[in-house]
Amino acid sequence: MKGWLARAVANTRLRAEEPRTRFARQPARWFAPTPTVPASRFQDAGEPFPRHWRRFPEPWAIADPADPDVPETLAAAIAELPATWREVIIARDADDSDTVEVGERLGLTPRQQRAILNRARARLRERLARRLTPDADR
Amino acid sequence: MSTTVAASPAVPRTLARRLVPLQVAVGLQGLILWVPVEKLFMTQIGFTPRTVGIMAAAYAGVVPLLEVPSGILADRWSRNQIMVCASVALLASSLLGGLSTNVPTYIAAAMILGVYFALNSGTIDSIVYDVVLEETGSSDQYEVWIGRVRMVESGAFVASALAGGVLAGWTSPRLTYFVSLPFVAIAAAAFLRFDEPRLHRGAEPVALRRHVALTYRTMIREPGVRQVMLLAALVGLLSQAVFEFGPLWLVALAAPAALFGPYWAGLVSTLGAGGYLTSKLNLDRRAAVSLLALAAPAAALALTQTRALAAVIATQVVLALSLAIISIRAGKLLHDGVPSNLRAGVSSGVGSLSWMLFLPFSLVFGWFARAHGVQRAGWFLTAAALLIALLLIASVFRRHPKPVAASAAQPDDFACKELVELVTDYLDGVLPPELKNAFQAHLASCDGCVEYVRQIGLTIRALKEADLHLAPRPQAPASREPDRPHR
Repeated sequence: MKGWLARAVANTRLRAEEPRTRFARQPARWFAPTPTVPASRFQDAGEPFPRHWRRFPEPWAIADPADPDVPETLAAAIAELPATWREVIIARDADDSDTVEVGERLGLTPRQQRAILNRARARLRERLARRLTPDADR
Repeated sequence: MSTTVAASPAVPRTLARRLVPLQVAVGLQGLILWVPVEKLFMTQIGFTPRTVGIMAAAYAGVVPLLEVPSGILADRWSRNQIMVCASVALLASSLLGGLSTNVPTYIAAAMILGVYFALNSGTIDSIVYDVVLEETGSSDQYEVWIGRVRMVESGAFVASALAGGVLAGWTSPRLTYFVSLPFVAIAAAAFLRFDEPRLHRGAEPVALRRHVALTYRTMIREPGVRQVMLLAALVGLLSQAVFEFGPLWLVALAAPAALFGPYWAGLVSTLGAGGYLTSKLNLDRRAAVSLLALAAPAAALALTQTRALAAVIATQVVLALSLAIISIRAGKLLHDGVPSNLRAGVSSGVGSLSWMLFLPFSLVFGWFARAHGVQRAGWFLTAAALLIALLLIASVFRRHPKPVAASAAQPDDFACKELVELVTDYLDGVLPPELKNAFQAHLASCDGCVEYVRQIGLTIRALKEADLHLAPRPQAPASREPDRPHR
C-alpha cells in the first residue's frame, strides 16, 4: 500500500511539472533519464556513500541448475517485457543471433540493442533475485 | 562505422509506426474550435471581467486538486483509458459550454474542462517517453519525438483558431462548441487503437519521505534555486494571465468575431516559435538576455497605453513570445542548478507555486478590470513582467550554479549507479579505455557490484539453457489489418 501510494505520488509529481495555461502547454518539460536499476536501490546525496548500493545484492545459491523454478521464472518475466525488448533479448541471449541479424530484422543500431539488452537483463535479474532470495532487499 | 551511426540515429521500425495513432489522436484533440472565441461567447451570455476572473480562479482551484487522483489512475489503470476519459471530459465540457446561457452553467463547464486538463496533463509526455524507451532502450530520442507530437498539436491549435474564428464570424460563436464534438469523439477512438507502453507497471516506488525532505531542502536552502523557482512560477502565472485575460482587450475594443481566429493563432503559435527561437539565440550572452527581459514589461506597458486593435494584438503576441522563451530559459536554469534526482520534485514545486499565485491574481485582476476597465488592469501584467525581468537579469549576473548532475565520464564519480548502466557495454567489450579502467577499478573495490555482474552472467546463462521460443507478436499492426472482418 505504501509503495503503491509512493508510485502514485511520483507519477502525480511528473504531471504537475508541466508548465501550462488553460489552453496551451509551454515547451519547457523534460524527463530525467530512467535508470536501469531503480534509483531507490542506491543512496541519495544526503547519505554516507551517494550513488553506491544501499544494500548489496544478496548472493544467489543456485545449487541445482536444473531447478525448474529458474526457467519458469524467466519465461514469466520475459512475457512481461515490452515486445521489442523481448525480441532482442531472446535473439541475442537465448538464440545467439548476432547484432547484424537483429539489426536488419528490427531496424535497431548495435548501440540501441545494447541499451535494450542492458535494461532487459537487469529486469530479468531482478525477477530471478525476487524468486531466489525472497527475503532479501533486492 | 560508429560515426555514421551517431550522425543519423536509425529509427527503429516499430517506433514510428506505433506513434502514428497517438499523433492522430493528439491532433484531433487539439481541434477545439471554440477556444479562440470563448471570451466573445462568454461576454454574450453575461460574463463581465470580474466573473471571468472567478471562472479562472475556480479552474485554477480544480486542476491541482484533481492531479493527484488522476496520477493514481494513470499509474494503476491504463494511460490509454485515461486519455479516453480526458476526451470524454472535453466532450462534456464543450457540450455544456455550448448549451450554456448563463454564468454559473459556463463556470461548471470550465470546471469539467479542468478534469480534462488534469487527466491530459503529462500523460502524453510520459506515454511518448515510455514508448521511446521501449523501442530504443534509451530516452535519447525522446526530445525528437515529443517535439513531433507537440508540432502536430500546435498545428491543430493554429488551424482550429483560424477555422473557429471564421466559423464564428459566419454563424455564431455558439456553433463552434457543437462543431468541435465529432473531432474529440474520433480522437477518443484513435487513443483506443494505440498500443500503449507497459514499462511503468514494473517500476519500483521511490523512497518517498527522504526524497521529499531532500527536495524541500534544495528548494528552501539554495538562494539561487529559490530565485529561479520564483522566476519560473511567475512566468507561468503571467502567461496564464495573457492567455486567459488577453482576449478581454479585444472584447473591450469590440473586435469582430473573425479577428479572434488570427489573434488566437498568433498567440498559440508563440509557443512553438519560442522553442525554435531559443535554439537560435545565444542566451548565455548578457545583452541578449537583457533585451529579452525588457521585451516583456515593454509589451505589457504598451497594453496599458494603446487603444488600437492591431497594436493590442501585436503587443500581446510579443509578450507571449518573450514569455515562451523565458520559460524555456528558466527551465534550463532549474535543470542546471538542481541535481537530476530532485529536478522533478523541484519543478513540480514550481507548478504548484504558479497555480497558487494565479488563483488570487485572477480574482484581483477580474475585480479591478470590472471596476476600472481592462486596459488599466494591464498594470498588473506590467508589474508581473517587471518582476520577471529583474529576476531574469539577476540570473545572468549571478554566478551560475555548478551543474550537480553526475557524469559517468569522470572516473572519480564512477559508483555502483553508473556501473549498472554499463554492464552490457563492458561484457560486449565496447567501452572506451578510460571507462573500462574505471569499471574494473570500481569492481575491484566493490563486492556488491561483483555480485551484481555475476548475477547478470548467471541470468544470461540461464537464458541460454532455458528453451525459450519467441511467440509471434500478438498485435503486429501489419498482420492485424487483413484479419479484420469486412462487411
